[in-house]
Amino acid sequence: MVPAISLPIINELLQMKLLTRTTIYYLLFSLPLLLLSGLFLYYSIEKALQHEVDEELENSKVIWIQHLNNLPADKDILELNNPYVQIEKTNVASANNFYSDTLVYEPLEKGTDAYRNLTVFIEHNNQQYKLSFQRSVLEHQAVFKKLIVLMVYVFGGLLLLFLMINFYINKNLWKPFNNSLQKITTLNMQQLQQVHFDKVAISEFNALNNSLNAMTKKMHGDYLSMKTFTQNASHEIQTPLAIIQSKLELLLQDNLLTEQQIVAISSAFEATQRLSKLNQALLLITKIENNQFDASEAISIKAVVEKYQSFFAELLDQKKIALSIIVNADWPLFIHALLADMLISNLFSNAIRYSNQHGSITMAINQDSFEIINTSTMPPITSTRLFHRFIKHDSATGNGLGLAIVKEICDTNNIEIRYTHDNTAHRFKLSAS
Amino acid sequence: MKLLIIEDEQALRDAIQQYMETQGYLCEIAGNFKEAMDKIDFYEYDCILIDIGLPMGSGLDIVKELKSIKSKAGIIIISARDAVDDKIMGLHLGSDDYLTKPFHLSELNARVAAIIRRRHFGGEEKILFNEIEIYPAAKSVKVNDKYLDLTQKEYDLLVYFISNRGRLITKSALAQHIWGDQYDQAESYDFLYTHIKNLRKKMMESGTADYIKNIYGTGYKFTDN
Repeated sequence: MVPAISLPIINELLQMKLLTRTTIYYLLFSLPLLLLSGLFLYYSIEKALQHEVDEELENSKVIWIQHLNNLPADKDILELNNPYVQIEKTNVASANNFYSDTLVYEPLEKGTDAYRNLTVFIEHNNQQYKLSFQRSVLEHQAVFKKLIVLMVYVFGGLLLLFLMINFYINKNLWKPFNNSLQKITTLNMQQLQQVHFDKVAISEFNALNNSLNAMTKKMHGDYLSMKTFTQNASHEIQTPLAIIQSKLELLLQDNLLTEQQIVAISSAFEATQRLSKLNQALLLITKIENNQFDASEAISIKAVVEKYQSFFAELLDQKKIALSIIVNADWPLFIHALLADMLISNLFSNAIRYSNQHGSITMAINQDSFEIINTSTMPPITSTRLFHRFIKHDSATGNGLGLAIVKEICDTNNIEIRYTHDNTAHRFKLSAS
Repeated sequence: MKLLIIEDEQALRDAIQQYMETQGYLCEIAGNFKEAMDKIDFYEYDCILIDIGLPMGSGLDIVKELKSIKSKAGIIIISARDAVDDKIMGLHLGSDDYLTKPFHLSELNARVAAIIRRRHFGGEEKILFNEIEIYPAAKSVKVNDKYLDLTQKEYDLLVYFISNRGRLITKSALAQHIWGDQYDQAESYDFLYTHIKNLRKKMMESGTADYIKNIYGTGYKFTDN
């Protein structure tokens, strides 16, 4: 049923609802069809009406000729002239009869009317005559006009009616499909919902729903087990790490160690620290993903920013970074206090980490947004790498999870985060979504 | 001073015991819930370290039991879970402090010392180290009877050093002690060096010996020999 319009570009341009498209196709097919049948009817009726007039003229002719034949031979038939038949002498030898359309002046209406004319040649008393029968087609034209108007109404009405029926049928037929579509597009695996696609009356859609059920069940199960695994693994890693770390710390207390040994133990110790931090960060992300941090009150972003302003004061000082905070209004954000801290501190430390010496950091707090801009000669972060885990943008000591945590917090708390880059300014903007 | 270490991981328990014993504490150990409950019912301790996840029961129930028998012991909860709820629950039940695994032994030691100080002397007791006197209640420091003006972080470092005197304290333990869990937000230990440099300078200017020794760039030892 789909015509040849299937080029990808055209499809892209003509992206529309199934119902709209069905209606358009229906119109594309039915309009020319209606037009053709309309034309056909128009000509048929016109022909039929003309045939009717011609028949009447023919009848008149037959009656008149019969009448003329019965007249005495010496009768001057020119006397018989009347409005219905004009008789005149002619020199043309018996020719074929013919029909023609003429306009006749009507003195009463001061205009012309269309007439149908039948010209007949007869011989009377050895003289050739030309008989012209006329009949007004005005009446027929009026009927014809009425018929056309009626036809347009009927056709228009039918078209409308069929469009409505088509619309209604399609809407209902595709309803189960649209329901499933709605469910699948609003599905959020992270909210741990198990979705179910209902049984429907159309077997194709039923098959689709069954497959969707099987797929989402599998995905949900996989997601749950992965989540539990991550959490358990992270917990279980903490204890051996604690053992390694404490044993190394004890070992460091040995007074007989050489410098080389102390340095070696110390770097092993630092590595366990990093591993532990990394593990905690992953655990944190998992917890945020699992919505384990419920918001209970609105947190003042201004207060959080001020807290970290003093916390990071030394670091700012060390890199000689100029900090300016513009508070247009406080942003009361409904979020778990710990997540608010994480959000601001991660963005803040990220800005410090990637700022140049003597750079600047600007923060702006608005009624429903927070912006942090730092200057850096670093190239802009490509969008494909922006919030990915373990992406470090230089050899700095971060674990590459800071922005991933920020993103996760935003995603689970209806905050929109956007990164833009302009010359040397790197800007992160959080806003309520 | 008597400690009870309730921890089911033997290796970790041994390490804690070994470190604390060299600090002069008398340590007893319990490897499971039942053993721990038996011990707290029969003996008195100055401080008890409790792991939450124990075989046969929860460390939180031990805290409850200690509170119900009105034990005078200080309580530090140790847990592999850094869940905020656990922490709040633990502190709510009456524990004095909460440490998340993995932790630094020097940090544990400093916290035990602080709790014992608070419990036994109500913070009135002063900490002595040769010519240095620290008054924790007032957070003031005297050297040879003259007040030494220190910033908050320098003071914290000094108390930490003296609590762990003679031990090699790693840079990360020091950083974590004064900046908390968020020290990893910092890029390097540079700012730690600055604080230690300033503390050392102030102390020596006030007439102390040079107690803070840098050990091959890996950490510091506060020692008078």
